[in-house]
Amino acid sequence: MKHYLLPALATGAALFAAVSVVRTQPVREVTEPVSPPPASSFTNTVAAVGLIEASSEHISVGTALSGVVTEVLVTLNQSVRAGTPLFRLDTRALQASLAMHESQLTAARARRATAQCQVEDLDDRLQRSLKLRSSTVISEEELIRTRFALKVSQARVVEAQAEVAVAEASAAAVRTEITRSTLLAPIDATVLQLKIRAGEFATAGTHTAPLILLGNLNPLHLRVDIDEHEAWRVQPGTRAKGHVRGNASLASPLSFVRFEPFVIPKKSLTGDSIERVDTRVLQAIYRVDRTDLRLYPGQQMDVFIEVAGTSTASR
Amino acid sequence: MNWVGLQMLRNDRAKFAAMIVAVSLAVFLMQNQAAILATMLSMTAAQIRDVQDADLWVTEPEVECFDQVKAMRDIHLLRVRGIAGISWAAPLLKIDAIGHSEGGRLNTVTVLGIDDASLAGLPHRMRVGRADAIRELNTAIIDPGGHELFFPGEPFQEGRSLRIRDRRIRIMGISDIAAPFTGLPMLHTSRSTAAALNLGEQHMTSFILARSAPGNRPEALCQKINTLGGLRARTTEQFAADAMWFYGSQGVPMLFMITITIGLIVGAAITGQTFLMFIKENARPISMLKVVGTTDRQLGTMILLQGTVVLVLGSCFGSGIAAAVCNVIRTQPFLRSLYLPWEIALGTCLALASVTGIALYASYRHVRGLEPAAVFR
Repeated sequence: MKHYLLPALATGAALFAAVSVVRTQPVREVTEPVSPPPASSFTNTVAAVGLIEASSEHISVGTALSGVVTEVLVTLNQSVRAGTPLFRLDTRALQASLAMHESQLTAARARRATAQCQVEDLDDRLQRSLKLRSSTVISEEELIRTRFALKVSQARVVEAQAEVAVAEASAAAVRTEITRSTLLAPIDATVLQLKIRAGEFATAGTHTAPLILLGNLNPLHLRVDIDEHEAWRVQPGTRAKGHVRGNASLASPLSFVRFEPFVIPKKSLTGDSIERVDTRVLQAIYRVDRTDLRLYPGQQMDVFIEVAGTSTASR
Repeated sequence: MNWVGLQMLRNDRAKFAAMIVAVSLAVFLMQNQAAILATMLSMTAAQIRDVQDADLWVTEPEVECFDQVKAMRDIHLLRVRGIAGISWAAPLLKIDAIGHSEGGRLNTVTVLGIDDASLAGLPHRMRVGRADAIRELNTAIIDPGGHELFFPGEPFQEGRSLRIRDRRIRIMGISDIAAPFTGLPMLHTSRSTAAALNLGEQHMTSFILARSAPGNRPEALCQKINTLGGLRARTTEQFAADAMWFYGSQGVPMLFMITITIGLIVGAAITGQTFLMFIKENARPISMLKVVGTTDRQLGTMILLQGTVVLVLGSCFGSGIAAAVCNVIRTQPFLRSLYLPWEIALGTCLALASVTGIALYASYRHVRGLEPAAVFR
């Protein structure tokens, strides 16, 4: 028994060593990412990133007049037809001005009527003077004076008519302003953003944050940034596929719409106010063919565009 | 005959024990030092190997290891994605920042920003919690060493947070990744969170991780990417080897090699010398064996057996001690990656055996030179 004590102990130690050496070896197994990243289904492909947008592009509705908003007539996500009122500005000052202009018009019309009466009166007097002149009851001088007075009053009628026209035009101008205080949808579209509320002041001019953002979401378009180095490989009309971020198994075939002919600096879309200009990109517009995916304008998609023949590496 | 040899060993307890102890200690010393060296080198590549999702790493051409970070252009990711034979590619952002714990501890931390969409590169082994909890904004998972640094001796608690660049980062779990060479806490978070921590610096991508499509050799794809210009692609193992070479060529491994060599020389010298003494002191019984007609060949086998017994027993005990020490050290969070490559475990034993072999040969020569008459001396 004693003979085997040492070998047994040694065997135990060796086994322990072997087990712990094996157990502590670093393990590296090949794993799959939690959500599989997008993979191209084409043999030769150009990868790009696209931004979903409305097929009408995005319309930041602007107002020609500045003023306080009294009423917002649409809600977010509402579909509107062309000509649907979107919101109204306060028109009280314009209404007051209209009332004033309308009174002025009434006054001008009255003046015109007075002037016309005066013309009739003088005309009548002139007719009678001409008769009397033949019987030399009145002097030549008086006749001439009457004639001139008639001409003056006729001119006054023309002046009064012009004043009426001016007053009418002013009233019409104010009415136009009142009409312009209600903003209308320029096209059939969906309200994508609503950043104006009743009581807020809307300024005329362009805005960094739109008051109301409209866009036609049927169909959706994808604005794809293609690296200028790869742009030569992309042909219009080839097949393309867009993958949804976060779940690459959701993908939609894309149909080529057009190239934006002007190559622009790429934005890296970090959300940082100072975005880095990385490279220049050719923008291609594709139509998203699948409509059952829950896609939203402003969302990014990973895009693979099929290209013919040689890959970049074998240039 | 061989039984006699074993009895000879057993009965000279002092020398037998001395030889076993010498071999054990030499094996232990060599294995321990080699384990530390191997672990240190593998730690420099640990973060590369820990990314199990990818088999290709694409970097700027100058980058030699994981700790050298050079901002990559976003468009490079798309260019890699567009290469035929690449299944997928995802960005990885690495930044350094100062982290503060609620308890007032502060330390530089390495923050890894994992691609939000795919979470490619996220650790798959966790000690506590779920790794994909980092999908939430301003959350992270921390490595065991980092947790120990910020919350020493305390168990994981949900809802704890670190303050990094004036943001509160909630800790959602403890990852089971290898310890980093730098010893800095490793935080895995989403790329968007990491980029927010890095505001002001135009750096969104440090590495591009990629996976080869089935049927494509990663090495061939690397070649393909390298010919594009402006990029450098390596397989995980190539990049890990580059990282190990980068740190390994800086002198520290030389110091370990010296210690290992000293262990080898001292161990072999003591074992050899003791064995030689043991043979010389047993010269009379050995010559007695010669008297009864034992051949030199049989005696040689006996010596070889005796030597082998000593070496095997010593190696077993030495390896056992080394393994036990290793297991104790591994309980420390920062040293959790300590391991002994099995090649080195066997190699140290063989190295010692071959050096001790010289002493065995010397003993054999001595025995061969003995005359049967020596029994009367």
